[in-house]
Amino acid sequence: MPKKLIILLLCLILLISVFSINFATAASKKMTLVVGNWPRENEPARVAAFKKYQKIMLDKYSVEVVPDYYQYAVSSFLPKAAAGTLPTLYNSWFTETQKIAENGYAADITGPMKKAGWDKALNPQVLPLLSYDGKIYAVPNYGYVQGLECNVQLFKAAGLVDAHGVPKAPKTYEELAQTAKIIKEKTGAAGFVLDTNNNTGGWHFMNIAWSFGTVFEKKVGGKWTASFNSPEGVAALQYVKDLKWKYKVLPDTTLLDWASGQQVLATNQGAMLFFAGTDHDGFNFQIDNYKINKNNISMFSLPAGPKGRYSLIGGDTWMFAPNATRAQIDAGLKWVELLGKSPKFTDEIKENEIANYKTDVAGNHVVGSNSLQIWTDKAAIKARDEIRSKFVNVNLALFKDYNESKNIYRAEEPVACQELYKVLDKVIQAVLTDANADPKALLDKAAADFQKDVLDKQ
Amino acid sequence: MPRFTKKSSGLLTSLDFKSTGNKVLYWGIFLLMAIITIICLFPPVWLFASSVKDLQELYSMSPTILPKTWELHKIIDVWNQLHFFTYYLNSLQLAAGDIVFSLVFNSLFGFVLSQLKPKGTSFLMVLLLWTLLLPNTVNIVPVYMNIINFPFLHLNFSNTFFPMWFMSGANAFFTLIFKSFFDGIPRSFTEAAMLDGCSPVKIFFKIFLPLSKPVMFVITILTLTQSWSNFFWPYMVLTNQDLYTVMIRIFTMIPSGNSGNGLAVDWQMLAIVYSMIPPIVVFLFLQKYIMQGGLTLGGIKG
Amino acid sequence: MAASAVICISGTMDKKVVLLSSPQLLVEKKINIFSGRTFRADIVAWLLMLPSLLMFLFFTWQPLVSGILLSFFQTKGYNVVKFIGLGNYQDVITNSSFNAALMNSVSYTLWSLVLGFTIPIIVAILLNEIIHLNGFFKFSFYFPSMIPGMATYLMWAFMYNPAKWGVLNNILTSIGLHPFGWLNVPQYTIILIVVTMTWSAFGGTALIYMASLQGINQELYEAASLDGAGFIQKIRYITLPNIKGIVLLMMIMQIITVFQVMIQPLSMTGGGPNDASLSLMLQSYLYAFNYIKAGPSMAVGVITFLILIIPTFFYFMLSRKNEGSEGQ
Repeated sequence: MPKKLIILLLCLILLISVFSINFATAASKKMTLVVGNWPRENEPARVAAFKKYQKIMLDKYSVEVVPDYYQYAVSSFLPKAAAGTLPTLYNSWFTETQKIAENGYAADITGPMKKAGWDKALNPQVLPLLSYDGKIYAVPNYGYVQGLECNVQLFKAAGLVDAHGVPKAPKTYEELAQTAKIIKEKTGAAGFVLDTNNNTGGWHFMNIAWSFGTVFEKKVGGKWTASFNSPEGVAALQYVKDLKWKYKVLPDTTLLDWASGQQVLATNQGAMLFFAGTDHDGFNFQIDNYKINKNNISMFSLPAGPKGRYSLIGGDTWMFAPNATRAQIDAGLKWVELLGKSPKFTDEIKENEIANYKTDVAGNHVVGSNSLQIWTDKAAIKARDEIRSKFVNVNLALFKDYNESKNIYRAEEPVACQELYKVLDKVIQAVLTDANADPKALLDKAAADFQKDVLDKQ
Repeated sequence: MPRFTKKSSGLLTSLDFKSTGNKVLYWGIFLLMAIITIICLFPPVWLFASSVKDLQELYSMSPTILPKTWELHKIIDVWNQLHFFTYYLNSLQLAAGDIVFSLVFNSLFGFVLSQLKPKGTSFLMVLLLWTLLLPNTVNIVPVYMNIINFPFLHLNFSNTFFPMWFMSGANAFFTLIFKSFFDGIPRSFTEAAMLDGCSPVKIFFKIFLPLSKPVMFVITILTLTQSWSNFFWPYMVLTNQDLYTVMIRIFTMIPSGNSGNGLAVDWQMLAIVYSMIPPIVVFLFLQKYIMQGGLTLGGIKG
Repeated sequence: MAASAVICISGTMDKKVVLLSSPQLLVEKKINIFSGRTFRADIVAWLLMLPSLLMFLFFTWQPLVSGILLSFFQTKGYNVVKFIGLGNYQDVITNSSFNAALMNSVSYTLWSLVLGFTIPIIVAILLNEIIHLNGFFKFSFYFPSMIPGMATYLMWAFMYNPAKWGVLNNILTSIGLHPFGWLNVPQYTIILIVVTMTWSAFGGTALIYMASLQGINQELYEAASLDGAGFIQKIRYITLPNIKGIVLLMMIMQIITVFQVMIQPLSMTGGGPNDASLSLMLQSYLYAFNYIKAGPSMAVGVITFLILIIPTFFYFMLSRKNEGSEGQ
């Protein structure tokens, strides 16, 4: 055999042996915990905080925390899960628990949760969203209540502020259309921004539809049925259609989602947007990426419809990879504790929280907007609020209506929620792109499709 | 116009240019070509110009095509902040492996088909032709299943470059190019060498490889550019951000759904600009080979 | 085959043209030059091919076969559960998006025949006449082909931005027109995606035609000139008939490639608005990786495969016929 071939073969063997190291299960003494949703390079302060927690985990519990940047997205979850490359602790959403658990891509954590007593400490409205088939699969990371975000500058320009500079936000959907119209006429910017794409259309539409009295999914004789093509549903969709064609207050861009919707508002091209403000992370994305000033942001409770005043609540969860060991799950819960996302509020966590608020203030992020209360312990809530009040850096009058909301909080639909959003996305896109679209016909078809494609297959 | 008198090929020749009508026609065509040139070159130029604008100017209600504010420092800042060099390195690593696999295995396969012709060669030829022709519409899921759980070995190739490299090693088109190239080398070489007792392996390395430098060069450039723009399988296989290639990175920076992955528009634009630079540089330097390399290849093939 | 490597650079679609129009490849020589071939020599030869064969086996051949087989099975995640006959097919065909995906794939193909297929022919014929700046034009036309596909799609998605700051709207408003919704207008979504694809590929394809135009006998044009034939007449009666072979091959190739469009809508519109740009292959991708349904994904793949088998056979027949008539 010529030398070259031998060299070639040797190289190949070398290559293969090098990469097979990856497959050898790391047999190091310390337990490792791969944690997803690690902050990225453009958030140096959060990276530093996470590094600190990493060290605590190592020193205190001998757990090596390995960073992973994976962030939940419908489009990338399945390949990751099937390939077995999910982080041990990964983030997801309230709406996804059922689908993920059903397909076996998450570990059952009922035992550890009960042992830690966290199942009892949970807001009872949230617990079902973390469970499937009577077992708990997820720890909540944070929860949100949807509200109406207003661009103060545009409200001012349209003369729609009170003596204290607080926007005169609409209290009903009828008022919302009128307010938006005034802003459009006075400033040229879109009065209202409605998300339509990547499932956010359906997500935001829920608020309007519930307030119009729509029931989306009904259990009839043990079987789930799509029921949103009711007169109430049609009225809600007609309202959306009117925003575009009658009041003409929506942006030129029809395909908007969570990020691009914020872009429109943050760059002063839209005045109102359904948005969830949370503590710590609420407005960071639009402030960092689209450079909106924190003082230009104001939050209100969602308006009332003919059948009530509803706000959608949802949130982000932590789930464990299906092959996580009991010890890893316990370590993961410790990690969640360190992040300050557990019912516990020890001195150590208090210190972390103070650091977090300092980071928020330093980054010109909003401190003063409420999250959904996930844990019910009154003492802990009060302790947190006390700390936060020292760091508030916005005019609280701009957030008062939202923070003290009297709206009815409603959790996302129980069955195949993201699929429902997707179906609704299409309907909303249809009424926004076609002035002659028939809402009733569209909803009839959407309900039939959703029934046939999704609900019948449950 | 002296050039017209020398034009001796094509629809319009020197004779035709005696008529004014044809001259007008010629310059009309010329104008059309100039317009198409603008259409071809404008988008990348606009993208670059927009990416260095101030963000507020980019979104302003009365937009500009050329920037008023040239924030050239952004080019370096964003590069550093995004650690874009990592993605360049990953893309280069992918390309290097692709080139090695492509050159080694396709040429060897082509050599065997062309010169050694063992029993079953004609069957393999038919198989390769159909491999080239048949649409790849069914393969996605089964290939993915093989990658995450390789048959028999039960290896998980996620987050390694191997799946892409293997696919480069199994390129029916390149194999056939090599085969037809080797077909053009006089068989007397091989025959004589075999009679002298040379092993096929030795013949391949001593005679065929040195002779095939031109075709190797062309295939290297082809593989390099294809590998740089390869998106789908790297996106499926490399889910760990430390391993992202440039194409995966620019795709994942578009904000989507409820995830906060997305970046500001000017950053996205700059990242797209970064992703274009290497192929454009290669094109500027090797333009002659890329656009006319075929003549070399074709010439040898005869 | 002077055009071969020029062609291969310009993308997958064109590759097949070259190979099949090269006669040596198809006419496999039956006579073996090594009359003293031994069993042992065969073993060595097969050993040399073994790595290549394994790679082909696991990344092309076996996936094709198992994809077709598995499309008849129920799946959970990527695991096979049980045989369900045509269950997956029934599932995907009755899905509300299937009709849209199928019709859209056809629509992509038709529009690409209108734009992507004809423009390179016209450009090639015209550019062939130009003697000033000819090299520069070739360079510029080829330039978009060098920009990676993903960068092209994302760049054009920015160009089509329907807000006022989008560049095309910027141009529209500056000449006094109203801004347009571009990709957001369902009737135009597919056309605009095809425009993007054409922008990216026409230069490479035009070069192929130009190489083939060089082969036309110059005397034919001269004779036509003497007979008083005009520009258009020459194109019609001389140029086009002479490049008919490659034109037909390219057309079928175009049909086969564009019918499988996937990454373009994935990156530019996600298939929206309201499924207006959803294609069969995008649907297959979404089934496989977004909806956790591997079986239906493969069923859509098989359906697309069956549709494309017809033009593939045509292509095969035509390329053989071409070789026969051109007979070098």
